Amino acid sequence: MMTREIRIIPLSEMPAFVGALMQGHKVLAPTRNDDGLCVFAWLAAPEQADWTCGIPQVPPKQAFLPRTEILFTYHREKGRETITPPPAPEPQIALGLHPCDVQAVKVLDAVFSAEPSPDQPYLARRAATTLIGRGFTEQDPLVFCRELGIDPMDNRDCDAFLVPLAGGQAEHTTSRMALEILTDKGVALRLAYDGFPKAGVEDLAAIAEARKQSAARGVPLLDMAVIQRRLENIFNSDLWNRIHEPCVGCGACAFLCPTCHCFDIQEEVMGQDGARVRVWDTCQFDLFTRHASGHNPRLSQKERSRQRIMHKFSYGVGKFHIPFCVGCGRCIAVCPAHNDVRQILKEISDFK
Amino acid sequence: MPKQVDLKTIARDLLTKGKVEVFIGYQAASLPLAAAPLIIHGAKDSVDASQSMAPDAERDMMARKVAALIFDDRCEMNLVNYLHKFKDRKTAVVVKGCDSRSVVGLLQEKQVDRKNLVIIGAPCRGVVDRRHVAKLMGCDASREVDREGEHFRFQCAGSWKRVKVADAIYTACRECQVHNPVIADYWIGAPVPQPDLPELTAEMEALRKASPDHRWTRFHKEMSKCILCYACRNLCPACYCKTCFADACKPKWVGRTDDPSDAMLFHLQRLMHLGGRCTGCGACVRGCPMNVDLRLYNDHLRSHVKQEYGFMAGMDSAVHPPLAMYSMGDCNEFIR
Amino acid sequence: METNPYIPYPVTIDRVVVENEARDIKTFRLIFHNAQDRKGFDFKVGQFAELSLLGFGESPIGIASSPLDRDYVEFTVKRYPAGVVTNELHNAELGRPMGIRGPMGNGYPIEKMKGKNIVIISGGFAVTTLRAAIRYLLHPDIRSSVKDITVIYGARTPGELCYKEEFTDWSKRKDVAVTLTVDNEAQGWRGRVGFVPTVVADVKPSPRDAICLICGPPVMLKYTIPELTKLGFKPEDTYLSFEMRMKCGIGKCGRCNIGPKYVCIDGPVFSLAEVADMPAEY
Ligand SMILES: Cc1cc2nc3c(=O)[nH]c(=O)nc-3n(C[C@H](O)[C@H](O)[C@H](O)COP(=O)(O)OP(=O)(O)OC[C@H]3O[C@@H](n4cnc5c(N)ncnc54)[C@H](O)[C@@H]3O)c2cc1C
Ligand code: SF4
Ligand code: SF4
Ligand code: SF4
Ligand code: SF4
Ligand code: SF4
Ligand code: FES
Repeated sequence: MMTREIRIIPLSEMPAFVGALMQGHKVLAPTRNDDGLCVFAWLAAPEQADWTCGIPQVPPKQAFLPRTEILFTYHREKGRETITPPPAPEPQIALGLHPCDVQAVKVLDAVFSAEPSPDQPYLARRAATTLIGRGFTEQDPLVFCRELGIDPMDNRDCDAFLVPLAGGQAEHTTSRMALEILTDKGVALRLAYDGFPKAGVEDLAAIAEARKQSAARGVPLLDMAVIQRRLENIFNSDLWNRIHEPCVGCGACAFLCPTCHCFDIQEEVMGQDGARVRVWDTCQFDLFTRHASGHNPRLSQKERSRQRIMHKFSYGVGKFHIPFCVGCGRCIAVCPAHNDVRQILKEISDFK
Repeated sequence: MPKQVDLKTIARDLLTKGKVEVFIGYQAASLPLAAAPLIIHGAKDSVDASQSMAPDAERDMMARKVAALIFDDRCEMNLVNYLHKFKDRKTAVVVKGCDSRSVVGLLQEKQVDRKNLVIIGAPCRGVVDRRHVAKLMGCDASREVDREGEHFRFQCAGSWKRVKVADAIYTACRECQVHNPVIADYWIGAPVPQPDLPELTAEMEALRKASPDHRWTRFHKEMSKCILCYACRNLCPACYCKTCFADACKPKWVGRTDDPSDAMLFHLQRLMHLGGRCTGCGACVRGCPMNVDLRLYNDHLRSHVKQEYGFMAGMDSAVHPPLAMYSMGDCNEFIR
Repeated sequence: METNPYIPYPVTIDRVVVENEARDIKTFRLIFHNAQDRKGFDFKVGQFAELSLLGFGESPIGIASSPLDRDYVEFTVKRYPAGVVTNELHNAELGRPMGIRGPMGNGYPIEKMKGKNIVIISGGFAVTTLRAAIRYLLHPDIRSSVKDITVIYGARTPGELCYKEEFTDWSKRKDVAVTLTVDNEAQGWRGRVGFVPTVVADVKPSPRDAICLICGPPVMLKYTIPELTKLGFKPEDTYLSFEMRMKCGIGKCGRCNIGPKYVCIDGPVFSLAEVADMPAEY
């Protein structure tokens, strides 16, 4: 992608930058909550944005697919009903996304823009969003996006991108961020970054060096094509008899996965007024597929665990040519049974 | 007192001799400071033996899994929950003190058959709260845990740090009244001393004295964190209803929106269903991905059941739980 | 900008017909509030729509009327005791406003059916979209586009046969061969007695140059499909319609897939050849 320009923002000045972004935008960024947990959350104050967070446990998908989204509101009277579409979404910024979280947004884009019925509420939110990614030099042990071919320094699909740069005496701690402006949406943030100096020759060298080092950290890639092909043939295998056993069938892995996008449509009613809302849902729940007659095609956790893996690594790839997993490791961190999707992939690869 | 045995030896023995079909224990997890459930199928497992597996390979797998069994300070999950999955099969399960009370609960409620159960008791002094440790040390990249008397030693970012046991274990463990299993066929360790605990924890005393406003604010704050993933419910051995009220559509009792009232209704109703049944094992709290502190409310519920009915859930399978029977002496204050 | 696909067209219930003795199956005729919405709701036989009741929710229901019934659309709905939307719909009075979203799904292979013999087999109330197909094919403008039409329709009892008047009329026509059957002898029943698979084996519809559409409860499908195979119907020429729990109806909410196929957009109609490639998770 053509880099329009690069500005250098000292870490100490980040709150000023974030504060300026907050003028006219809602800003979602990594924050640390009272429990010390990193989560993506809507900022109330610029200082809340936390640049020490690795991959926050709560993903940024709420910016595009809120946990609860009003599809429309309505008013009912006898013999008369009126429907009001929701207001257009406000301009917003998703700030500090790891390249794997950016890739996850691409997954959501693929699903929600697909024909025959593009999802207008999603697309409206997406159009109102400016994506500011953030490069990472270190990788949490649970994160395996590199194995999926995602470079944590890659600024692809972002409107702007922050490259952390070390400097001064503290060679290894980030002292400043290089802000790369990549698209028109990025340029539209000019008021927020105009006060910061343009990158100098040394900065450019440092950025190039950071990218080079990141690219050099080769890891053996997971062969997704092999996994996908294998999955196509083992639907009926008794491999699944065992894989699901530790799983308790909760929604933790899906709700905190940046790519999982399943939802339920529910009614919220107060007297004559109401709203049709969509709320997060997951293939791990019994009710997800239960017919009104009581019949359930995915009767036990075996079928549900299989659906999760098949959907992420086979169906998604087949349809959209992109795996529905970006290797962020969140599901590994939050699974109460410590189910590890990497382990499952290994079992699948090793299977006969 | 039950016989003390070695974990792997007893597992191998039970599985190879066909005394159990399934053995539920722990293995090291891929996460630091955590253990994952390990479910081992015996040669004689009647239900879902991998048909395509050669008997040799099957035996190998079993041996490998038995060798991977562990029991230590990381083993936080309450494995009793899995008994629902293997109902009607001969099953052995490793239980800590707290978990053993869940077994008693399920026996009382006739959810498991004692004849099908081999209970491997694991005396326990508490399990590590890795999120709390991470907070204490500002570091989560540890893979090593040692115990040195009253301290844990953690490897954190290349150096060893020491944390007092009392600071590293879950709050529920600090308040645990049954470090030694109340029911077991074998023990895999020597009994551990049971400290004397006050009737009500200081926190509970404070909560009871606090103003309604304060309690509401606190409750609201906890509930606002909840994303309704139902991990707490799905991990709770006492939550085994085929159709949970939360999944009912007609009538729909609770919604699933991000309005905290939905989480509140879910948790309040769940609490009511757990009156006299919650054993305080803490599985729900440990499994919550959002750190919702349900413990406070479970404790509150249990302390009331204890005060009003003199009952502690999961201590004695011969005693009927208060909500399952009527007695003239029942506390009926709420009826006016 | 795209339109919001979750907002239904406003419609009104114009007519309700109780279809069976158990009174748990009713046909609802819906009229669009705005005439141009009916034009926008341009559907093919075999498609379905989400019926929306504000305050209660939505249900995907096959369209039971023909695209050539231009003034209205009809849906035949079974009430489930535990079903939120189907109950409210059954309680609805004439004139009740409601909504409809769609059309959705692929529908029957109308283009492919041109110039072919058509065999239609159905059991119970699953007949809904096939009734639409029959109405459509028998329309004077359409009838000549296909060759012979054979219909076999069965129910447990005569009282459970839907669209009775229409089927009685069709039975009298020369340009369609209708066989009605019930599972057991019943007073006043002069049609056939026997299960659908047996009747199919008896009637022996010819597979020559034929397209077969089949809808019914799982047991009926289980025993009828082998009969069709025996008669020589090709899997790629035999079509059935699937049902999975649905919400969005447009391939987004993620619940209706059978393997890689999403029933709401890739289906609900699949040929037996396609079904053979799908996992049996339905
Ligand atoms: C393509 C298709 C065509 C259908 N055609 C007809 C028809 O012509 N006539 C008819 O009576 N029924 C039909 N059904 C089944 C009908 O959709 C369900 O019986 C109905 O949705 C139950 O809704 P409920 O609110 O009463 O049940 P609840 O159990 O309260 O269900 C809640 C919601 O879940 C979904 N749901 C539950 N069961 C089903 C199901 N079996 N299929 C799809 N979604 C479900 C719906 O969104 C429903 O509103 C069809 C289903 C599909 C998928
Ligand atoms: S894999 Fe873990 S988080 Fe996901 S449903 Fe199973 S138990 Fe819950
Ligand atoms: S499946 Fe797990 S690792 Fe993959 S994207 Fe989702 S949360 Fe991240
Ligand atoms: S894994 Fe399950 S919850 Fe996640 S997107 Fe796929 S079907 Fe939906
Ligand atoms: S509610 Fe929580 S503490 Fe109580 S029994 Fe269930 S899992 Fe254990
Ligand atoms: S596990 Fe936590 S987030 Fe999930 S439903 Fe329970 S309290 Fe809420
Ligand atoms: S009904 Fe939502 S994806 Fe098919």
